[in-house]
Amino acid sequence: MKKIKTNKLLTAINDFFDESKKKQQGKKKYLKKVLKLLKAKQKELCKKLEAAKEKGTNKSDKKEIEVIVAQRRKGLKLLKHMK
Amino acid sequence: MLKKIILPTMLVILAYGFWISPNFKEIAAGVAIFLFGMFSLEEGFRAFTGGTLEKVLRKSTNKMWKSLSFGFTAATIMQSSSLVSVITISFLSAGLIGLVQGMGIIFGANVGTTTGAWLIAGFGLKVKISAYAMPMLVFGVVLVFQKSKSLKGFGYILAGLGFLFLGIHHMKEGFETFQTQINLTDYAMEGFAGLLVFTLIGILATIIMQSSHATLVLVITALSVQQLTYDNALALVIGANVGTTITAILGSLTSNTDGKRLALSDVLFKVSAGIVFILMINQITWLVDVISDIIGLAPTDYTLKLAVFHTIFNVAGVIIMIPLVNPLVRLVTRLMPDKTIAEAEPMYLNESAFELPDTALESVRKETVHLYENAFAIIAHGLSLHRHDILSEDSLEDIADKPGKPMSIDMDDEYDNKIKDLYSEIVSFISKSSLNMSEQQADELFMLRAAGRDIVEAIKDTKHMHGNLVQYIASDNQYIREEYNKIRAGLGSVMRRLENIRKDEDDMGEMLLMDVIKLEMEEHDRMVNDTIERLIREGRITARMATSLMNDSAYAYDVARNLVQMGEVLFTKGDSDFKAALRSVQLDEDDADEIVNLQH
Repeated sequence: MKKIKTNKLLTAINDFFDESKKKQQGKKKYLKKVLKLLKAKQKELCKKLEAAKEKGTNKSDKKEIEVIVAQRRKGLKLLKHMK
Repeated sequence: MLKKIILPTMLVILAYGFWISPNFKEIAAGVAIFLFGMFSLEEGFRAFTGGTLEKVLRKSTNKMWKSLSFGFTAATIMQSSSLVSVITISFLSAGLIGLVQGMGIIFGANVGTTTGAWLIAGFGLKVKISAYAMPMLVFGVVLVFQKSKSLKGFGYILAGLGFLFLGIHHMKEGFETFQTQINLTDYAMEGFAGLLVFTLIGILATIIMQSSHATLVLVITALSVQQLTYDNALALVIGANVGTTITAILGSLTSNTDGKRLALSDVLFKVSAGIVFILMINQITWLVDVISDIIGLAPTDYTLKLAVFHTIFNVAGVIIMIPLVNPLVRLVTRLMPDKTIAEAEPMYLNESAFELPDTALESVRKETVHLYENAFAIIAHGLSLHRHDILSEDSLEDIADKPGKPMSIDMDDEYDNKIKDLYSEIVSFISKSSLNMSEQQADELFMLRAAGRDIVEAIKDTKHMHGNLVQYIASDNQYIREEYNKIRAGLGSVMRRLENIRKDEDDMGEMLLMDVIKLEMEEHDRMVNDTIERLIREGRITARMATSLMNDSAYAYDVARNLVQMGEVLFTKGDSDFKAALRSVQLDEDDADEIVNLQH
């Protein structure tokens, strides 16, 4: 029991000073933040597009949605590689 | 000549002093160890300036009270107003903060340094601090040898504190033994003359040691063993406060005008406060006695009373100066007016920006934006478009179709006059500033260098198509004229959108628009090829025209691609981690190509 606790403590200390691990965690955190923002933006644009549909398709928004979808796909792929 | 004489003279005087008095040697060694401790402490804090300090500084200086609090806290923690001054000047030079905020930080730092006097007088002399110094030095040095930047920084801080304590200990010991052999109070001077002479000594000592802290420690230790009279000690403290402006002055020598203005305002503040305190010394001494009595200090506890005096000096000075900040800004601006900078001269690249990696990065970024502003006019005129047309909201197709004479512009001349030297300065600055950067900062610098190159490439590609463009937009052949006008309108549109992105505050929106431009570029590239084939087939344009159009469409594509690449680096806002994450999801040419393929 004592040995497990010591090991855990040593791992925690090592993690604290492991800069590459910290860097990777930081990258993941920011990537998740960007993906969240992209998702929100996509939702907003889709709503706008729906509203504009009655008057005719808003071409510019459609292109933006395509771009967001591609960016999200790219981001998710990156996130998967980080795990 | 004078410089060559000063150092050897100083060394000879010191050596003679060491020879005739072992106690002088001990005191001087104490000062040297103390100063070395200050350097070590600064080095340690510099290890943590790679982001945290800068982030806090950027966010916590938008209001005067925040700037004051930041300056106070930073100087209290780091026990060095010098480091705070140098960082502030560096930030000011990079345009990250304004002059008013800079003044707030410096004033706050002045109050922050008063905590040092309290610590030395209250703790340093009453406790045997050399006992704490030894373990601090040992642990500090062990940590300094570690690979991790934070551990190294922490090691320097610990060793720095150890050296500070050891220095104080040696000064104290030196003065104590000195006391048995010689009484320095025999040289004490009374009255107004004494006040002036000792103020001058305080100024000189601080200028030589470049640390008011070191002067304060010397004064407090000498006072604690009655080797100095209380009145003379007060004068030395006034001198130390005035002399400490030397760090800001030295730091500002290599900074821009704002940095120099900040140093001047610091000098004006300290010198005026010094004059007022010399003139009102009796009233201030009375006030010190009253406050000391209120907080329960013994009437003979002169070292702590000196700390009270030092605090009053700085706090009163700041209280008086806060309402006068705006007139002070106006005064220093009048005394140091802005220099007229030629278009090709760098505006943000100066040596004080080298102090911190973040300020160096920001200076390069701003200077590259300056380079883009110069390039914007050249590219616009190279396309025979007016800048105001691109920046307007009018249809660029209509503007390009308007018949008129092509603009006459010597692209080589413009490049030589407005771009070449500025670009060389940026490249040279980048080479010098990349040494102390973290991996992430070095990446950012690399991207900024690439952005500068993109701007230059965009101009060169515009130059390549300029000859044909001038010829064909005035051509009688309607079809070739229309195609070249499309190129002009297309590039004008990219430049207009980049300007809009630059002004846009919404991080996500701008990144998104940048990728939309890429997508449209790919679509346009395909369309151009189809159009050229059709025009040749239908005999609307000659083979020679078709070849020119093909080449120039490729140049136009390159101009657009270079501008977009540049925009991605220069106009994406947010901190470096967020920018890196944004860039990682941005679409490259292959991604854009894939989307266009799917559409067709």
